Amino acid sequence: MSTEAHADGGHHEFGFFRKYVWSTNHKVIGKQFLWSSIFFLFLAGLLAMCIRWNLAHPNTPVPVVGKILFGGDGAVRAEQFTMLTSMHGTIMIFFVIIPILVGAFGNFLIPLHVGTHDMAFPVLNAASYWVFWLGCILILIAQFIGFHTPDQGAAAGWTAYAPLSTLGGSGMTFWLLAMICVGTSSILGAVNYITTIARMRAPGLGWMRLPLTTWAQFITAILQLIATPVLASALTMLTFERMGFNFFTPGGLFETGDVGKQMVHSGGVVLLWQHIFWFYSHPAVYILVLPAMGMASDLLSVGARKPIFGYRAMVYSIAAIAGLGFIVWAHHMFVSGMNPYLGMAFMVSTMLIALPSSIKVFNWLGTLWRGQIRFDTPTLNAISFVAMFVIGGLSGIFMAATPVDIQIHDTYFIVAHFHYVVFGGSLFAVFGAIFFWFPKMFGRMMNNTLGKIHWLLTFVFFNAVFFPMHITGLWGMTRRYADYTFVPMTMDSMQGLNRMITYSALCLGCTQLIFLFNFTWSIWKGKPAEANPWQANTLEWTVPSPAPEHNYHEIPVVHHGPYEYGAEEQKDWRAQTESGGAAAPEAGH
Amino acid sequence: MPSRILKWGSLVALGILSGAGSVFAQDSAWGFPPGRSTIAPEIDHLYTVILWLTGVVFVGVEGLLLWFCIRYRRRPGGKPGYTHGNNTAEIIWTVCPAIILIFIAFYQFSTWKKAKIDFPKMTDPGVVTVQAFARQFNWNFRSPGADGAFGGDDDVIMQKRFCVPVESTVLVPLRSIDVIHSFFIFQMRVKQDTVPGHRGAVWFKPTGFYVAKIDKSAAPYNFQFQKDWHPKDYQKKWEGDFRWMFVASEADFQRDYGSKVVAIDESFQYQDGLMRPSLDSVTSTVLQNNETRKGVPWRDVDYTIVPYEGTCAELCGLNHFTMSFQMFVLPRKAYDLWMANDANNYENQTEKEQWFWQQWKN
Repeated sequence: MSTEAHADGGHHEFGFFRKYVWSTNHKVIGKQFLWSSIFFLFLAGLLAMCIRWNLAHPNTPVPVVGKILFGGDGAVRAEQFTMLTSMHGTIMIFFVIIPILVGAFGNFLIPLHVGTHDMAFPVLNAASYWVFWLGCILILIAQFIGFHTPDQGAAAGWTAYAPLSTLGGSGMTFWLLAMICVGTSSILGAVNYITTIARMRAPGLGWMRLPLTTWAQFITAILQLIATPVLASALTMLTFERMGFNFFTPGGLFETGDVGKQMVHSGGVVLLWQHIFWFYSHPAVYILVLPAMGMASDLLSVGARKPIFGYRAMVYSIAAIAGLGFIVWAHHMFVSGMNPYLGMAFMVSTMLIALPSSIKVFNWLGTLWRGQIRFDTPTLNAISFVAMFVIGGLSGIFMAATPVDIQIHDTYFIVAHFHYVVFGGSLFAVFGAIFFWFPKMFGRMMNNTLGKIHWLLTFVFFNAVFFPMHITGLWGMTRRYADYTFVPMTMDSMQGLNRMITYSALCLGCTQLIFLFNFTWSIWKGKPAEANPWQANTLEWTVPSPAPEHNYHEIPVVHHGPYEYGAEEQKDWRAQTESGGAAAPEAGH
Repeated sequence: MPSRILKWGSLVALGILSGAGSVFAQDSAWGFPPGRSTIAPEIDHLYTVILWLTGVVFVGVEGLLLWFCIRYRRRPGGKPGYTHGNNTAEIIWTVCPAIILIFIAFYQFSTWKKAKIDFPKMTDPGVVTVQAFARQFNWNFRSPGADGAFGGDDDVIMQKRFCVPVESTVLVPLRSIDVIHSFFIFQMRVKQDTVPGHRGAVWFKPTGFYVAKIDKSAAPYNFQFQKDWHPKDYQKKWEGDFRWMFVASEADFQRDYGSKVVAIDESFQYQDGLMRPSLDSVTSTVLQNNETRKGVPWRDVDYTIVPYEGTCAELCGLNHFTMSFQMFVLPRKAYDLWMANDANNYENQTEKEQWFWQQWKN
């Protein structure tokens, strides 16, 4: 299939539509994923700001967008609030972070990193995007229903716990269909990535010579291939349950708790949904961060002009995180009514999964140690990734400790924790990666000064938003509450912090406009990029910027690992294709 | 230019952050709300241990990161150290965290067992059972009433509040009639999902209750807590400006308040963060000079018992945020009087409410 596509593509006869829209070229598909996710990043960010506005000023019209989005006087109605949090979570996870990390960077970088012309299955690759695109349309419909008729919106949280999700309105149906589409897209992509990395590596490119970005994509793809079908089964069951089948809802329940409508379901088990959902969604949490870890590793090594410290340990710890990721799912369920003895077992496995993450952190420190750190935008973002991931990782230990989790479960402490991992971690790595690979994507450089200003403001406001959430969460502020006046004695004292979080969140949102401007402006007006602006070693920097349509005229021959920085006297880097050099060891010793 | 932006930008940012933080956070407390159950000290201790361990790692790692950024910044003519790793270092920083993590894992077993596995029995002396039956969007509670057994006409039914006597162990069987809810009382350190179709329960033993002095300047109809009362037991910044006194036992209560006026209001209305009795709150049970009588005007009341607040912690639908409740821990006599005189028993419930409780499954 790949040779066929190659032969077709060689003629350069495609019009605009085949070239930029209905393309099977991995770089075009990568960019399509990138554009889609950036669109959804801003949409879900807008939802987040509406959520925050309502928490600081309940029942007050949202400035600017309020009347358009919420109707009436422009205030978030209470019944719209749960829809906002549900859609914010769903979109950020499934339409922003996963597609940007895996869809955009996986697609763009894997064939370049392994030194081949395209993915193993280019048509499947295009199918993966267009199935995702169908999901995008469906989730937008769910979103529209949520704004238009709030009681019909998808408002059962991104976790969609049954039986609340069974009862939800038509928005929930579109939500489910959208999720099935993105799940299918993930599976199709994963098959492609695994095959491409396993079978199409350039001559000399042994497993231990792969850049960590590609290693992370490979292991993430395995996670997706194994875990996503489980999600698909859960979603299918839930869809069928909404049509009258019984999986999750036991008998004897009543829809409103009033004398009235008995639920038609019987014989289901509520916790079944949670077990199946988290069996996928815990690995998904690592799908959200492993590719970011890989990219941050590459950015740090290039920025510090030093080889990655402990390359093999880095690879093994990614694999260990992925493996252990399958046996920790029930730590989301410590207070769910699951057998408490089971909680003990999952607590121990959860403690263990902190270990490979800590190894990675120490190895990143080791990479910076004795380096010559070049503080350009990608490096700053990568260093922020490490700094914020440490906070997110350490706060995870609190909730892994089952007795402490009793108090902090479902509070803002959890919200702080996963935003430190997914925003502080993954999104910083994404900003760095976009800046870093932008020249290879578009042939131009993004503006470094704007990049640094964006990084600094994002770093400051990010911490001003999410650090105080630890405090409000420890105090007991529960998640997904539209307002806290129903627990006045306890929560009144938190309102000051709540407002600070909100104002910082508004600033954080506005800061992203700097990024958007820099990104779009640089595509057309940025400084033209040379082939290797960062003096980096990996294969993609041996071809011109932007990367040619079929990447390599000749398949490159690889002579050593990707991190030979500082090995030579003349220049502080050595491309993977360069032969010679006294010592040309594999990356891992 | 960019490096100057970075330097000055960082300084200004730090200033703005700490300034904003100190302005907005001045009313806030750090850490858990005060623990008022027997399990709370153990959970809080565990939290503190983890806070110290992770705190040391946090300061160490972030400090090193910052130091490396300064120390190893690029300099003209500088040469990076070329190394692929160091096995000894990597073994050390694998084994040390492993030991710490395994320590934390095993250190918490006993607390978890006590909280979620070793339940008291309903028949144990000193155990008071209150059934909690959740629905969208209300917590419904049932106490056994005078005959001590559930299911009779004398069962005491309450919505959004329940009461237990001081110095008792509280056992709360949990059921839900529709979706998942979660029973959460901050100061008791309890949280447990109420899962439809499952038979869950929580237990806890409150170590006492709070008494507040009433500010009569707003009398007769506006009622609020006096602000400058009892500085010695002032829980730092807890509940905003309100101050209240913690009473640990029946004996303490008799010694300090037994002869004074204490009001227990069933119909607190929360507005603007203040507690106000509704104007028709003449049905309030008021304990005056250790006697109960009804219809006492607020101007005759000096103290009130403050309930513990609880919430629903699991997303349960569009009005999830309204599902709060209160737990009154009462001196023995007040508790007995409440149970004996309370009009809200089962036989007086509407047909709808009676139907609701018939759905309870043991």
